[in-house]
Amino acid sequence: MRGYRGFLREFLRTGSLRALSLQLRTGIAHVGRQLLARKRSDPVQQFMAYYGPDGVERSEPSLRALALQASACLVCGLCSIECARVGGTPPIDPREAVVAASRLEVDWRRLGLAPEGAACGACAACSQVCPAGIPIERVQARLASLAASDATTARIG
Amino acid sequence: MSVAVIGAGLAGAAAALTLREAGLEVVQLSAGPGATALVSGTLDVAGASPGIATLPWRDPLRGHALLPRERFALHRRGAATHPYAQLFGGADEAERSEREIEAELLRLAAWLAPEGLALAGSLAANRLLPSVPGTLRVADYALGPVAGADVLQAAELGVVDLPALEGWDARALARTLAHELEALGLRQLPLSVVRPALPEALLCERSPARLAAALDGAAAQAALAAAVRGLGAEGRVLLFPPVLGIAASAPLLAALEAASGSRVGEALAFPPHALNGFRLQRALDAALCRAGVSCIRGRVRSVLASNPERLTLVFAEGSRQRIEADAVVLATGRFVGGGLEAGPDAVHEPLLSLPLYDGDGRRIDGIPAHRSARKGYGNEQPLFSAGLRTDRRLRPLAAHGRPRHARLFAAGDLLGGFDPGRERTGLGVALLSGIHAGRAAFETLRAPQQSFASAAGGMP
Repeated sequence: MRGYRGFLREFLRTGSLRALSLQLRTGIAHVGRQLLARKRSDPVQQFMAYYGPDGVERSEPSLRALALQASACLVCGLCSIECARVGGTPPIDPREAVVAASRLEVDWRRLGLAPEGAACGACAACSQVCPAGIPIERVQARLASLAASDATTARIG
Repeated sequence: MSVAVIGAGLAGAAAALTLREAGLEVVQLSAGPGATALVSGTLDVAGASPGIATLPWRDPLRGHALLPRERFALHRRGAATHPYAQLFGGADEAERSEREIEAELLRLAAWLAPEGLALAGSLAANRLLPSVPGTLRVADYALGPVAGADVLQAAELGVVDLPALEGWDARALARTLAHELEALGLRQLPLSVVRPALPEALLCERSPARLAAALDGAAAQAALAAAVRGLGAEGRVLLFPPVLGIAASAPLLAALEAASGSRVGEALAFPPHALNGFRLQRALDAALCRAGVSCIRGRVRSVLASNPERLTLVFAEGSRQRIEADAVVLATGRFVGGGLEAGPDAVHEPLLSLPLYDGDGRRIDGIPAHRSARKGYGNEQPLFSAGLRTDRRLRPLAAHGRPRHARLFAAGDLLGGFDPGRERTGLGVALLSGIHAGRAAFETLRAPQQSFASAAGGMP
């Protein structure tokens, strides 16, 4: 019941019902779905049966691999310095692109990237200096294609 | 005779250049840029020496007041496993080793000079250099662009304000710096925030990397020099963010000093904008190229050391791609560089599974990293001093206490017994142990009667 008191506090403070809807989904809808859903042998299918109705989608393995590679980022910033040195013109700073890509979901408004933003020249100078071996120009290309297909947020992988 | 050096940081570069200058064929292998590319620009050879009871490193005032020479002497005597004790640990060697250190820093300066990167300092005096957040760091040697910002030699400090620049807040820096000077018991410097009248394109640049790249151009350099003309004063130091050119920092610094009539320096900066580390790594890479070292990009997976005369470097698992070498210098660094790996199960050295020891001298390879961690913020972590043990010729020791291979050497952070983060002397150990490992490898390969000095033309 503690969580429901939290919802009441938030409702009184902000007037928002967001906390209540989350509570209902996690406390009732998910539990109900888990009780009612048909049991499957494949754990991925089972997971999708539970959470698919909430809008969870399966990601492409290649894109998931890219996000996993991006998550090795040390945030050292060498890619940004090298990119500036060779005169690259990426739509997003390469370091910011990698950090965003490692998060699986990107909010374009926060990145300041226009949906029609062009890809960088893909000279791969950034990847050459990356100590974590991330293919940064592929991350940039992926972000550019996602930005072209979706105006606000998009899944990386 | 060919030698393979694994690792692209300062230790690997110093070993490779030393061997190449002695006339050997050298192959340098690296999986990426060295961790040297992440440094702030200081090269504090003597270090702050934690763990040595006689050195008051926790007391910043007294620690800073010690001359590098005294700090180095305490180092050498204090901790038997410290790489300096291995390199310079002999009795009554103090003066000789100091001269040797100064000579080796001159060699580093000569390697960096063709790329326009200067090295300033001496073992006779400290510098006190401000960082981007406004904290102070003590250093005996420092790279040219940051060396000019020494607050001990300034009568007045003008912090250059660039309001659009990410991560740079001149007012916050000045405030923190005032507190730091007070905490150190140093006399207060008159601090001011000055704003150069720059063209809009430079003044509005948000990204420090892009501003630094723009300031490589002649027109932007001229504009900046014109903008600082009225900002100088007698005894004033102008403190810039680290943006004074990526490749062409030396001529820009000279032009700014001539235009303003003040000394000019950059603040020390850390990732994600460690511009001076980037410059240092680039200058080292260029020095290797110029010297004729063949640099190969690729991750070495293992080193086979069953033949007493030769070692074999294997690239991928099961791959046929191999390199044979008469001697190998390991300069692979620690956890950031990849020389040590802390997997889910255990800490280990991936190339030869060499035994590892932590700062307390306990064997730690094969046990999980969290078992070596000590609870509590600020406690010394023995894992941060983890690394190999070597003999005095820097040959890694196997578990039985004898060298693993007669022609295998190690240098840099891979050597255990010191914590580079606390001591702030990672580059000092990297340079000195790199040169030492290079010499030891050369002397092992050559006939005993031919010393290093005769081959390298009178090198000390």
